[in-house]
Amino acid sequence: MRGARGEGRGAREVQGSKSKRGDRCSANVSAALVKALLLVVLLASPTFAYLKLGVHIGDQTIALRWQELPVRYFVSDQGVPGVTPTDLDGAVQRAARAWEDVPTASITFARAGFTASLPGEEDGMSTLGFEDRPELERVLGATSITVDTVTGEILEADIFFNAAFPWTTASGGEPGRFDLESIALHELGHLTGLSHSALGETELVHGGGRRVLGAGAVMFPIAFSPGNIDGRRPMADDIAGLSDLYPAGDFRRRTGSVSGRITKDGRGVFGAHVTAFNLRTRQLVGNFSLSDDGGFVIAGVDAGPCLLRVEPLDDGDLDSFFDETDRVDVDFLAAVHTKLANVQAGSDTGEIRISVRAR
Amino acid sequence: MLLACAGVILVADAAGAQPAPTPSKQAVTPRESRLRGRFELTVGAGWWGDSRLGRTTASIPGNGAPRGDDFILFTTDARIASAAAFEATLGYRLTPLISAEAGVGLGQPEVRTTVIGDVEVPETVTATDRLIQLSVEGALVVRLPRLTIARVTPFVRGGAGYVRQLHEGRRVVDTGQVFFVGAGMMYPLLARSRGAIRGVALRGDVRAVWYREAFELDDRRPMSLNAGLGLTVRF
Repeated sequence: MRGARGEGRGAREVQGSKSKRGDRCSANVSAALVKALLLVVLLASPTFAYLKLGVHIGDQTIALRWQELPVRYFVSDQGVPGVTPTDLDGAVQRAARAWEDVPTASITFARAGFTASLPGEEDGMSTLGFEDRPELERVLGATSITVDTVTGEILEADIFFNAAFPWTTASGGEPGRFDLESIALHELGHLTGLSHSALGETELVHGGGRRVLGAGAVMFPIAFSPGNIDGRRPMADDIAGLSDLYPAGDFRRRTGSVSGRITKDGRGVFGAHVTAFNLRTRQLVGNFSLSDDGGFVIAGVDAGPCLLRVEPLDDGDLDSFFDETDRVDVDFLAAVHTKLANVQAGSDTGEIRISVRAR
Repeated sequence: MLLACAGVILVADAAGAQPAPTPSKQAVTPRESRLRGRFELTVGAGWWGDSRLGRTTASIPGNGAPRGDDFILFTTDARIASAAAFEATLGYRLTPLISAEAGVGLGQPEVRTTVIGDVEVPETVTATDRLIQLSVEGALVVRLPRLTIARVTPFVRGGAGYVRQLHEGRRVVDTGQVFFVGAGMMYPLLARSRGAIRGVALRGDVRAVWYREAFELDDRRPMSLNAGLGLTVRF
């Protein structure tokens, strides 16, 4: 099927909401179709070394990516209070440039101009703009993607920013308003094919929802508080993900990967978040165990000694990361592997087994 | 790393305190005569001390406006732990007081990284990585016979060399340079004026060792205090 469309987990949550709603963005297609199209890639191999959007084709899973670059996009000519269409355009351009500036990735964007079209319309144009969606109380923005389900090629991707929230494009941020550039960077990450990163810490807030304590990736699903502008630059984890999806130059020769299995009581753990911390470069890159035998791969890791840390996926809603949430095991204690992983440029560490204990 | 020259010193001291060796009655060429007694082989055990690699913080941007303070996930404190080693040197006496040495050292120290204050892992955890470390060095030894007390002669020693560290799993290798200065003492056990073996001595030394471009985590040069004890044979 060509040109199937869906909106998956390409949304960014607002934190601390009292809403009981799920954080999944709305879809203009049925939920069943969404699941059919935008399944997270579940294969653990160096090719799928980052949580990406993917599509099942037969018994294979193919990561979604743009085949033709640059990615042409339009900007909606509608503003919101505090943000003119020109402000929106500028914020999107800066965010696009931030992804383009990743030296180890080849993604490029081309601004095609303003459009009167709204995001979400299947019109062959990738459009970014505001939509007033007050019913989505926890969604700041979302990305919908049209894909060729034979090849995994992304054909069109639209991004909407929820006009129900207060926005700003001020260079230093603005108290009480969300930084449009940061959210655009996150959504453009989805537009490229990246899914969510779990590299962040949150705490539950009274009445429901979560408050971000810190985020080590712009692809973390929950946004910083209004006024914060820390999310304007991709971090190491984002860079590894994008570079894995669109490798440029000698990325694969200059970086290495860590692979292995997470087990509990001798059985594989699915959905464990594994982080590699490079003791030399301080780079933090994470991924999940993505197979039933607990297999994981973390690619794009700087060469050097790495500390491996495993934790359950408890800093965000499971369905921000996986469709099949019942497969995800969160019933174990966070652990630090007692062996350092020596990452070598251009190669994999070989299987590292990490055993975790049930809570 | 290398205990070497102790033997040299001893012998030299002994030579200085005793009459010159009587020429052998066997046929010995002038060249052989000049070389005899100038070589010292030292073999022994070493103790390579702790080498601190420093603290590192794993942090992510924290939540705040317009920018949050770093949110610290955990801190690591890394070191190369002390370890026993095998050391050997071959010295050649250039003058009665000065010897040149070449040596090797082989040990298996462990890199230990302790994780402190992890927000998710309450207990302190240490992650390890065993190294197979080989060093090949050259050194100069200067004997100090005027400071001899109770037949124990001190010496000072300094040098540099190449170090190779093979990490656990034998896939990753760090190589670099090693520099050292130190001091030691020689105690003669045997001195002879003829025969293949001209002397035997006990040698011990301590030294400060710096590593450059070997296994390190930041710009700081790892440093350790090493010690060695060995037996030196002069021939």
